[in-house]
Amino acid sequence: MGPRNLASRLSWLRRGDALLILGALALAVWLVAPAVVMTVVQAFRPPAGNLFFEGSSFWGLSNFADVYTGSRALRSTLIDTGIYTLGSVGLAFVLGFALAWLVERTNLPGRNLVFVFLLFPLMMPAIVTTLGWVLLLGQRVGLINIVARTALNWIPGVEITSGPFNLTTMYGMIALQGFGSVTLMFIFISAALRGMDPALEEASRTSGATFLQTVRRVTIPAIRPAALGAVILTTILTIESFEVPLILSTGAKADILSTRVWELLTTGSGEDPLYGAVAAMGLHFMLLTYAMFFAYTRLTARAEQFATITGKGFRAHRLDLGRWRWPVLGAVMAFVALISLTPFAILLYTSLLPVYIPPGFDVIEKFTLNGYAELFGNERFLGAVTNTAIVAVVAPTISVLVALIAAWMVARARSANALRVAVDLFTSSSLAIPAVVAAFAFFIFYLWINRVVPSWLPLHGTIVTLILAYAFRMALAYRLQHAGVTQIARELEEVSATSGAGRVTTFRRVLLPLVAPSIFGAWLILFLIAFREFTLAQVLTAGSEPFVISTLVYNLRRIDSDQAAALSVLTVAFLFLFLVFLRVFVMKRVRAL
Amino acid sequence: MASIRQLQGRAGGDGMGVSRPLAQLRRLPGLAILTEAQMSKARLGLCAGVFAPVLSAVALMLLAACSNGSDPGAGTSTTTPPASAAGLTPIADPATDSILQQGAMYAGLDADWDESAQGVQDLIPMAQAEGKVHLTAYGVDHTDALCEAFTARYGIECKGRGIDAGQIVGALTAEREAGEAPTDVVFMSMTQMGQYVDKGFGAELDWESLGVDPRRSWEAKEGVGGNAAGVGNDQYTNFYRTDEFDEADLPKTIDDWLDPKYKGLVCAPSFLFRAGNGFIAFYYDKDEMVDVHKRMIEENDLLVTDDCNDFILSGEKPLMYLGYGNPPALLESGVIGQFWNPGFGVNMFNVAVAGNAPNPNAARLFAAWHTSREASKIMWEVVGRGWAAYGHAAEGLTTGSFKDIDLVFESVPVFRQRGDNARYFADRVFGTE
Repeated sequence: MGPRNLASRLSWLRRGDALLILGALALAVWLVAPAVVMTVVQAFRPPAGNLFFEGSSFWGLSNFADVYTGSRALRSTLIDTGIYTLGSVGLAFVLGFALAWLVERTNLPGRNLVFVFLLFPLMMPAIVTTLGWVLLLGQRVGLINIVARTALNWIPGVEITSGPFNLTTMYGMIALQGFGSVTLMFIFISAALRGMDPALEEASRTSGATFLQTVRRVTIPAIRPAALGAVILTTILTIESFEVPLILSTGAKADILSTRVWELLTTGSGEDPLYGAVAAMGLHFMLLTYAMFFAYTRLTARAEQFATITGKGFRAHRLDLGRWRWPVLGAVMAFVALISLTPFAILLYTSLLPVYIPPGFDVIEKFTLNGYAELFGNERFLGAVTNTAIVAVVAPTISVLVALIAAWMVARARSANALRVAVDLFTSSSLAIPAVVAAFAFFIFYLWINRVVPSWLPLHGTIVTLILAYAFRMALAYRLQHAGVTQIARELEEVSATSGAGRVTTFRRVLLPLVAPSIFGAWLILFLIAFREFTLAQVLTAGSEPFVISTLVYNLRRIDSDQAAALSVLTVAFLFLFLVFLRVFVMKRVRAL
Repeated sequence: MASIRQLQGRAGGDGMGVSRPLAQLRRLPGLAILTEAQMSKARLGLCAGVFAPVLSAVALMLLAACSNGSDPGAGTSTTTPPASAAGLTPIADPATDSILQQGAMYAGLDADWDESAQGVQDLIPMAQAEGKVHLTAYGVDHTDALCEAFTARYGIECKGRGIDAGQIVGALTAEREAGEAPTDVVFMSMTQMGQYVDKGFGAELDWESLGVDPRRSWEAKEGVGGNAAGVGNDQYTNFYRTDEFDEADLPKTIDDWLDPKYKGLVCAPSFLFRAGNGFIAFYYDKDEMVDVHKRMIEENDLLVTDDCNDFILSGEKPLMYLGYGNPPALLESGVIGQFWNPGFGVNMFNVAVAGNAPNPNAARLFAAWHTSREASKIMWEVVGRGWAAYGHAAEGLTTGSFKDIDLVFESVPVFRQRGDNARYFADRVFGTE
């Protein structure tokens, strides 16, 4: 497509719009392309143990042969990863939808509290969560297992001394990952429910439909773009998820993609890290992701039929739960406690001991605040907190702005379909590349850039690199905002245009306020992910300066586990207060925009 | 110093070797003991109190997580007897024995660094003129402690950075290829140091002129310049909960772990489980080891997972097979003890000076000082890893006999082979074939 042809296809844009869009696309390319390009190049540059730029690397396909053959061929990995992903996403969807509906559509008491507590899993360091699950669901010592055993042993003829629940099975992995994904699913679906006119559900019920019929035939179709987006995002994040498979997959005898990648890159026992095989595997993952987005695009092609933010005003009515209010709250809080509060309680407990000791009455006298005191005396503490705050605020802001412009362009362009699809897939690409692969690609890219840029503008090893790398997760914001923009009927912008407003004015005064909840939601999720991001930071900084909280925790946990736990507690406490502040003071204003 | 093989008969001799049965540990039935009808009752019983759809979904999912065949269970004592009844026979060929003796030699190198050597005295002012040095190792706890001591001693600013073991070679390679030179001295395991110096990244040092026993140093592969020197040891270790086991009840040899009394009670860290067999293959036949370890997983429900610390500290798995080192997080808890089996590996950790070191003289001085008793003691106190011959190691490692148990000390021929051993093992134990 020549420049003239491209210009004619983009003729629906005015010059100012074009500059804005081209600027955003250029930034998107800068943020995403290094990881995509380097993954592709690495996959076709064997031998598998070489980095693509090493002198002895050559062009060839043998990396793919390595992936397709051998004792652990790709097929078994795909099957196990598929079962694990479908199971946990399905569980997360059911739970996330139920919770979102209760919070957004009913008069459930304590809704704000439920919302904030549900965000805990996004704040908790994964390593502490694992200990929490062992203490809750371990076959021998798990609290839930002990309670369940006690209850089951009341049944005549039953005598169980271990279990009954077993974490180290495929089902255990699905349950843990599913619980961990509930928060994201909840955020996506509750945002969609907020934007949906409840009159549709009321009309369904007054027409005689049952509750489940209304949910199936009205609610879910109405939020289908957002729900599908949420399912696809959660699917991708689950395939990429590392913590649960790392702890449980070998015991569950499951071959999960992320742990295969980890094994191929881990070199401590003298094997070469197989970068080429990892990249070849990453390419398959990328193609799979593209296929999912393509399916998503087809399924939501006539999205306007679901557009629920229209020129007609609506006011959300809440379903009265009546006498079920408090029992339902009890059930919700029990679940929230299971996935959110108990792991935090264990983290707090760990921070008060020099080393972890199993709970008991004699432990109380060993409680100490030394971990906190030593942490405040740690010369890296303040720097890590400052760096984290800067990166966690700036990177999501960049991602959200670029993604919003790209989403608007893709959702609203009337022509240049090929370009729309290209932008759509490219902007979504960052989700398709496992973080560990992307991190290494950025590491190499910014090392190379350092040789090109002037010495007074160092990138590699600085906080600027961290910000740019963290913003790579733009795809998450893009998918969310694409769903948000899609939900808004064109008629609003058309009315604005016929009233004489320019596109930028329409964008600023019509579209922006309407998608504000999506923007805010996307920013918040990226902020939380950035706050606990580990892989990108660890690889890019090589575990050194500039430290962020996650890399400092990682360094501390081996020797000063109490300091590591104390830092984690303080982080969660800060995020908790921050989210309460946002929920109470900011979100209402965002909704009122 | 005890020979590597000297006491092999005693170490593996009495098979089970357990004086007191642990009755409570034999009774670990899971749902395998429940009939199908009882399972249904159990499900119904647990679901009875659920009054909301959300909790129903959660409870059903959790119930689905019930184990059926992999729980530690009663009635398993009739399964295959432990392999130790048949007994594993250590490899007994001269070539392998020669390799093991090379590694054992390091345990006797207790001569301290000679700071008074002329080469060192000449080097100190040049190093001080450069004024700084950068150290790359596995963790900042290590680099902080050594840098502080080095700076206090020589007045040379020292900055350290810690890179995860899984990334260190890749990161250093990428930096080198990109023309960056952010480090002067590197500290790594022998295997990783081998990868580093074999790429030609290490400087060629005359260690003897720097006051270091030359037997500590070793060269990059043929045709590539550069070398490194050993400064620390650390060993593979089993851990056990002292409140659940007596020392006499512990597995004496690797095949003892197949005893059904340990069923469902053992955890192994996945990385070490693979890497540890890189060493064990020098002591036992590797195909036998593949078989034993497969049976440990399939018959005795060995849990292989990324990090076993949580499992042993919580008491969920009171035994850890093929753990590593002397981790304060475990040993200072007061409830965890260590023990070893014949054939376990002893790593050697090394320093090398980067060929493109920005501060080559300070780097040489630091590397030489790192071989000293002083540096070893700091490392031992801070990260639990020192030069065994100085006495800065777990009891037994300092004598090379390790409570009369034969261990496989890392040496050049060992590190050049153990990566292949580890992959051979992993492909067969975790493979789908």
